[in-house]
Amino acid sequence: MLFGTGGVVLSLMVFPIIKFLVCNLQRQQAYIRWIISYTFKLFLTIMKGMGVLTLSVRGTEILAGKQSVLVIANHPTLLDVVILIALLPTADCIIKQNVWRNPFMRGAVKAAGYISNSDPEMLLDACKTSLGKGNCIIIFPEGTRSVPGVKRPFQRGAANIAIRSGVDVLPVKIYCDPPTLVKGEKWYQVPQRKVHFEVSMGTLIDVKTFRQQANPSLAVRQLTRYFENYYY
Amino acid sequence: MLDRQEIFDRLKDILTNQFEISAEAITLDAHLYEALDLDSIDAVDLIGELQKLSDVKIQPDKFKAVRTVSDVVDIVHELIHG
Repeated sequence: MLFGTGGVVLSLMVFPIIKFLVCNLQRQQAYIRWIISYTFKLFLTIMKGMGVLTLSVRGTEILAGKQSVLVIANHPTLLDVVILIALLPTADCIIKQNVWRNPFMRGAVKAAGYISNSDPEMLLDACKTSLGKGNCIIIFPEGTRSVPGVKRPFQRGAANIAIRSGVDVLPVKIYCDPPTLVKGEKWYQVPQRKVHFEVSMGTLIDVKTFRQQANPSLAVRQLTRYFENYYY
Repeated sequence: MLDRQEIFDRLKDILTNQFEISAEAITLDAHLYEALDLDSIDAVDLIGELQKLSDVKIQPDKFKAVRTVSDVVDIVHELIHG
């Protein structure tokens, strides 16, 4: 609820001011991403302050000064994207269809210029363009929230983006204990005890070796398997 | 000129070698996107490979209606034999 309200307040009041003051669309989107990121940071600080959650983050220095990195992560809870955007203020995100249709969030994702996943080919082109500009992109290769204990084959989208754009991949592991806001749970079904989040950034995966394959379809499948082995 | 069987054999080669699909799964009525787990990006790659094989240009639009392995064989056959 806090979220929906926040999204509406930002879309109706803050973003129009930025759109009015900043003419350049790219700069507009950059400011809006910063605001979203800082709003999420604030949200996490409040949650920490209220004793609802603790968060420890390791390895953020790996991204210092880096551009055009594809950031992949497992997706145990709804809060993952909040944490990742809070940590990576300028990153681009791939946002699924029903968020674009959600009246509370549509305004914000549109204003930030995030990427929609509606059409796979357009998605790929949009990602190439964004990475070409130096942005990082956050994507959950599982395609949907992880189910604790279930090993599901990854979607090939993330590997497709990496192979076809030739950018480095940063794998991020997110642990959440006890499991909360998992798939199928409502946002108000909160656990009794404090939730601990651990976010650890791995080392950059150089996709060059995969790209040496005879053809991209094979390279994409091998990289997807590499991702699966990393997480499972 | 390739006949249907030869086109199928070549297609099978492409699917096993470049898309890691097991040979047993590739039958004429196998569904590309469901049974063989191809996606639309793969389809673009597949069109590229088929063009090498037939030396004729395949319109991506034509490929949109394709569902099964036999649909692909039909398209390539039609293109080669006019």
